[in-house]
Amino acid sequence: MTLLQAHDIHLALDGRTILDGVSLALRAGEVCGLIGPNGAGKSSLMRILAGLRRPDRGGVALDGRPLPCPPDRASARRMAYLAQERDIHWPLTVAHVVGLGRLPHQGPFRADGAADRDAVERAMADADCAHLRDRVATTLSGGERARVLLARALATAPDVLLADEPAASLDPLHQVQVMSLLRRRAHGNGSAVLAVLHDLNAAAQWCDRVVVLQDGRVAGDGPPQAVLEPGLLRTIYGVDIIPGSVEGRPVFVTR
Amino acid sequence: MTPPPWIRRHPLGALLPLTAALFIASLSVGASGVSLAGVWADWRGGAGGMAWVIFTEIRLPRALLGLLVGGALGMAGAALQGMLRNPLAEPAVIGVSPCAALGAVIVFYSGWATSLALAVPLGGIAGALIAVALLFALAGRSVGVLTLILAGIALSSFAGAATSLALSLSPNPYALAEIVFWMMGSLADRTLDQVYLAAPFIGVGAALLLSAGPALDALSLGEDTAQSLGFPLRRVGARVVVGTALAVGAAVAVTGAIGFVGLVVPHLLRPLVGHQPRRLLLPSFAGGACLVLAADTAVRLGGPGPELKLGVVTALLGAPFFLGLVLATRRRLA
Repeated sequence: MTLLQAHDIHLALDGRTILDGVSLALRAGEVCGLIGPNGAGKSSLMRILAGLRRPDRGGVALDGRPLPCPPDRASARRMAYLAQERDIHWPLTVAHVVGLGRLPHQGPFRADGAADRDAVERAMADADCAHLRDRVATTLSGGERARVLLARALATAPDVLLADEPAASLDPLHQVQVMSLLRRRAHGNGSAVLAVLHDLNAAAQWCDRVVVLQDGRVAGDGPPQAVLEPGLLRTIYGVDIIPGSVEGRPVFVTR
Repeated sequence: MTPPPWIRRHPLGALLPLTAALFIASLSVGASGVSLAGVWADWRGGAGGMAWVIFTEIRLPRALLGLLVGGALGMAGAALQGMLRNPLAEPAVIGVSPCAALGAVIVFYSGWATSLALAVPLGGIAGALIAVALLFALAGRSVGVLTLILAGIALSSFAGAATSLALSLSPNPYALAEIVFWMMGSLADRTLDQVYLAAPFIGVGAALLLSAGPALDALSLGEDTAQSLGFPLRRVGARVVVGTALAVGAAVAVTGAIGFVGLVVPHLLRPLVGHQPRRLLLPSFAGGACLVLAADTAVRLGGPGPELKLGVVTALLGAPFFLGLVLATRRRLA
């Protein structure tokens, strides 16, 4: 079932083409990796999919209905966006930061209910930051902060999760934890996950599908083993990348 | 210094009794030496005596205005700081109060004030509205400390110069002196009519600011995340702009510019509410009221001779505080 659909997205900034006719359908129950070189338009596409930027042409539909830009309360309950910037502007505690993910579910003057507290606890446990709950979020390390902000997005209990580099600045253990968590949410809860990734190994190992973006166009879309082949990788990254296999898992090494 | 846990859970539980105490203190102090007991006795005796007149005509407006104006300034400071995610934002520092004063002076000067009682607060609100809207256009997107302060300096200087121009063109020296004293900021010699004039605007403004509370919380994680949580920036911005303009504009129009309340109060109270922008709003109202009531009572206790202007006192205390805050910010950024 298609949850989020982008159709023929065009975007230009200062006369420079950023996105040039991108179409993408995100289905329930799949983890989709968005990969591509720096400046390929990945983050711009993510922001358009999240309803944070209006494309010059084309449109985004959530559940088959046009997504308002900026998103309304109902869309914010359905879809969470994890920004690439890890800004936390005030020295809030981790529990408060994660609790912000519940705002779309709350009225303007209503305090947290039991459902909100449960969702926050579960999100903190899932993202392995429950032990940080009383720490001040601005004093955390980069990796801890990344997990806290992921927990914030999970606390919304979204059906669609758009994560811009969720695994950046994470150590190997936490990278595995985060990627397997995204996979569990997709396969177990039937959510749709779209994650910008730079690590081809992680993309091959954890994604059901990868979409390759190059110069604002989709250069490949399909299962990782079909899409991540040496010819395409050399074209998009401009460097020879050799696929191999370790214990039956695909690995990629630059030459 | 960490506050005791019960204050952190219920900061208003500590602030409201303090506000009430300072309100009563403000009611019981004055040049006439009339005591509250005297007022009570007078009221029991038919409310016609001198004590009752002094109470209702002089002390009550003054205390009510201290409460409302201090609250408006404190809450507007908290909301602006949350919106701009910058602890240096404050109605006076970033030029909102000077522009409100300019708006009110233009109304004074043009003579509309004599034909329509609402003209002065409306002028103040219009000035504040223009100032906040300009600030958002200039510094709302990048929200750098530098841009914000520079924009505020530009607005303040312009408003100051335009006010001076209006004053230097004034044909009437008495009107001139009146405006100059009014601009220094004071709660003295105000009437209940002025309270009735300002109160609705401050009330509506405060309600608007409160309604922006959840969005201010969401903005802690940046503009993109806030929008993705279902808080359109433009609507949040409009609420804070209009709310600040109504509350601060009406306050300044009645009492003149009382600086630094909106800076000091949220800054002091922020640790009590776990730095959460939404939870800071109501305590900042109470804290601003406390500060202005206390300063205004202290001004009256100053002894014989002409009483100090409240705006002068808050600026004398607030400016060094502001400098300290700038130094601390610089150290943190370094």
